[in-house]
Amino acid sequence: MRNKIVVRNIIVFIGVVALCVISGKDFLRMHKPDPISTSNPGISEIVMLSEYSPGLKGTAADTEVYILRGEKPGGKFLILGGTHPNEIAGMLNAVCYIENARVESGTLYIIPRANNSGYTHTCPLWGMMDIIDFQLPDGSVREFRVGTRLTNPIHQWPDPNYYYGNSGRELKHSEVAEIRNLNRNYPGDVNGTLTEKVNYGIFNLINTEKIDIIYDAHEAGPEFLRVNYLIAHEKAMSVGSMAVMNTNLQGHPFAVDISGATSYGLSHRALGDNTEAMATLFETLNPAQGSRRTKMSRELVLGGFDKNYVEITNRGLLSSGELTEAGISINERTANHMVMCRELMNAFSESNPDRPIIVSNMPSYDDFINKGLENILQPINS
Amino acid sequence: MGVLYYIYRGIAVVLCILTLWELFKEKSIIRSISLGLVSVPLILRALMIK
Repeated sequence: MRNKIVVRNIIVFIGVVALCVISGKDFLRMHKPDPISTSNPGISEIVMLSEYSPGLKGTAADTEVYILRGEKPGGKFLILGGTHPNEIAGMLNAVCYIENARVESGTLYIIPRANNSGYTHTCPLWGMMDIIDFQLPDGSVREFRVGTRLTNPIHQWPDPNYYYGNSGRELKHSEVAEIRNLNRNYPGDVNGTLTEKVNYGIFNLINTEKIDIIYDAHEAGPEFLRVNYLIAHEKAMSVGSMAVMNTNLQGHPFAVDISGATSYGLSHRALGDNTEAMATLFETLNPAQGSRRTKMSRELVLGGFDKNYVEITNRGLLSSGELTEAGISINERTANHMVMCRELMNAFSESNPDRPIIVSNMPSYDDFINKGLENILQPINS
Repeated sequence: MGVLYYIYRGIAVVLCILTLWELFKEKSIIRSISLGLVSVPLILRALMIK
């Protein structure tokens, strides 16, 4: 009898292990990086962020920095994608610039996956889609992971009950997990937590390479009060305001707001205060991040349509993240980031004619909308 | 912090052995399935922490 019980339990154990292996493949898939096409002749160099923060070397948080140098000297522009990996339009904007942009003067520095560790997991209990894909005209499929906003706790553990780092921000109570949020720990610490080392790497890159403008690409749910807003440090307000005004003239409903003086640790405040660069951050609308959305689906994540938010909008309950029946597709959200980057470069060049940042070969806003990302992303070179 | 990780790994290994011991000798099939489904993935995850 006892032997029968042991045999039965061994079978149960084997069944559990089999379930773990089958489901574990999904989890381990999240640890495999998504390839980015490097066939663009405009790419001058690819370096790792650990060159600016040695403590990142060999860790899951080390990430690629793509450098596109123009033939003529000019200003330097840093595009940060994937600070929050679940905010996919920011990363896709960075990838589109990497794969298409030709810099004529100045230099682009692009980090498509700023929080690389955040791509290896999804937010527990949120039911977020883990991978999105686009089928290209040649039949190949480009896959991109949808992670979550925090560093993976298997890479940075434990979360202390209280933390006061270089950011000047007290992380306690409900903000304890924010110790793993890249956008709460600037300017970082070369000897700090894993996330702080990433922050330090970006901060050191900005200082070493003398970056002129920082563009941190984000997305937010409809409840966020600053959706479609450019948040600018006071040093960036002049260029930022000019850029937003130009987008308004083109029909885009963007606005600008000044970075909060007590937004300690956030890129637009901390990098603006601690570097010579003009720090900006832009939020596009992503209904999949809303807390009142319906069931997670491809239509929601890529199509940007959610009937709950359409109803909430119709009742006049949203102030900036209004959603219509048309939704807001990933193509439109990525295009919004592209337009904002472009206009910031133009505004900087107007204000600094001796150091212009001129980028060509980027698809237009209409190209994003009409042709879609399927026709803008490049096939992966073999 | 290095010492903490080794202590944690040691605790995780001990828990793993105890859980398997409990699982193999459990008489109730419901409890043995529960022990397996809840504790084995948790322990695997704990062992992934670097």
